[in-house]
Amino acid sequence: MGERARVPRPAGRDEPHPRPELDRDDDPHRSDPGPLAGAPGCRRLVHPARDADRLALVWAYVRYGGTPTGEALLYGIEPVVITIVVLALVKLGRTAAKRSPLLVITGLASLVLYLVGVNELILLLGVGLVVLVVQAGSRLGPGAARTIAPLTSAPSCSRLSSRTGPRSCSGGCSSSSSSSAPLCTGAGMCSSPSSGVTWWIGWGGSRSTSWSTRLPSGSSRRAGVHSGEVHRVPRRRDHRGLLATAGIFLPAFVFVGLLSHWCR
Amino acid sequence: MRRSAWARDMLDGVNVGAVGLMAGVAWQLGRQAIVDVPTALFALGAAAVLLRFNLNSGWVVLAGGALGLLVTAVR
Repeated sequence: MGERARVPRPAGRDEPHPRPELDRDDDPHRSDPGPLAGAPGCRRLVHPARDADRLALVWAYVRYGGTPTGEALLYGIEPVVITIVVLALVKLGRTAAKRSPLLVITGLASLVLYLVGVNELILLLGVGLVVLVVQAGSRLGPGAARTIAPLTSAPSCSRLSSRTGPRSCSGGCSSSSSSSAPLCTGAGMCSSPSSGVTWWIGWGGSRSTSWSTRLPSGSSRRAGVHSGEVHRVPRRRDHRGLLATAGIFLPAFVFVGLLSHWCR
Repeated sequence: MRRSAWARDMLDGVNVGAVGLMAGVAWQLGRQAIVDVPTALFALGAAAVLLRFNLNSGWVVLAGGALGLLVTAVR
């Protein structure tokens, strides 16, 4: 991969020395066609009406890309397009970094593995499984026990105001005295005396969703509950979700892999 | 599917893997596209314009093509 022949330049009409055709046995990129190569279903992967604009660009590239004028245009367009793609990737990477450092690590790992030459489909499936296993482990591990108990727990106060020093709970909120991170049960106030920050926490309609809202300083009543920050408290058991995930993703990867193999 | 924690995690992983693949392809294509000082300047200028002025990408691509023609004609 990564060779210049990956996106073959069209042969110029005025090319003085046309490129010699590679002997089929000498071509390193040659592979035997799949059993469905050229089948109608494979050709339908490109829909003429839907992809008209892209087909027009492809036609122009093939028709004029090898001419001196076309090459001069591409000389300026290629770096600009690469820059646009890189900027878009930076935005996506920032979004992932805000969600979880794990996603950044796996993204960088997938980049390195791709450059090493690992198959793209295997890479996607592997990264998905790694994130699935690690996230599930963090949810179901010993440290998560306090935050998992459905219906009887809301997020701990430490998650809401971890930098505000000592915390206290009031209303329907109770704290475990042995823990430096009190677990608030039910709905109520969670306040930090040192900073004056007050949270109203509780759970929503779903057992797996709890919410918290930061109240104005000195406020004693809840306000704008549904505009508050929403924390998801995962269910203890989600076997159906796991089965559905495996039942959808694994066949999808196998299907795409076989299709790309057969239709090449 | 997003309502299931398992499917959500799997989707997150596949999404971030796809971003990594795109970064790999961009790296490979970038090595082919940015080959000398003018193309490096095109790339830097495009990045500066897009970040500073939030211009439509199509205009930047057209400008890149025009500059490519100009530089090729001058050389």
